[in-house]
Amino acid sequence: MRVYDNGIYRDATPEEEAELTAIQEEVIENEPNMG
Amino acid sequence: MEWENVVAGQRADPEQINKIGNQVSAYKGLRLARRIVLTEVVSSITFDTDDDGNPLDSRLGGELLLSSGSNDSIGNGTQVNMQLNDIKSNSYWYNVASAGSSMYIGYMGNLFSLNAISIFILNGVAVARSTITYRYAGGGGDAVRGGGMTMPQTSINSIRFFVAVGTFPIGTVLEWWERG
Repeated sequence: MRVYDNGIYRDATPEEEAELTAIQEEVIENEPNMG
Repeated sequence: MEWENVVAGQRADPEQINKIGNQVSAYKGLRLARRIVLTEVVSSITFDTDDDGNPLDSRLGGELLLSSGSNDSIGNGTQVNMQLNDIKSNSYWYNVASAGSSMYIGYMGNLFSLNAISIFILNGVAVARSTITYRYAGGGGDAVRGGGMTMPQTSINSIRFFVAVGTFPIGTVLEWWERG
């Protein structure tokens, strides 16, 4: 997983990956009008 | 109210304007403090300095734009979230809707999307208000969604966008127009 951090492109830290993964499990709403 | 020192050619005194509250006419204007165009696919975008490398200290807030540009390969239904000042406590920001202790600001359409977020700091309270315009291919229509959040803050010092599913494509544009 790549991230942009103040002008630098780098791999996400394990902590950042864990946070984003947690967010994926929290998706709370479905978009009704996807193409 | 003291207005005398808010004149053309002078930088407005943020503390004074905070006292004035919503007298937006007192603001001097907007400065393009940071502009980012992605050259790689990423899952999050974070910055806490302006284009000159100075620490971000936007005491009057500003206008924040996140756009797909002309990119046509955006992940369908990519959910976009925002954090300000690296604050992650879900109980602190009072969101319309949230995920991962952040402000949920909508989706990226797969043809185009523009997330426009106004951030105001009024008497020690930061308010973020977003509207999202996006377009899907293959039958999906144009749409606008909105959201907002607020918390006690006297300055914006860092801004972060991230996606729950998918990525920000190459060509994604982010602009922070700082109010001064």
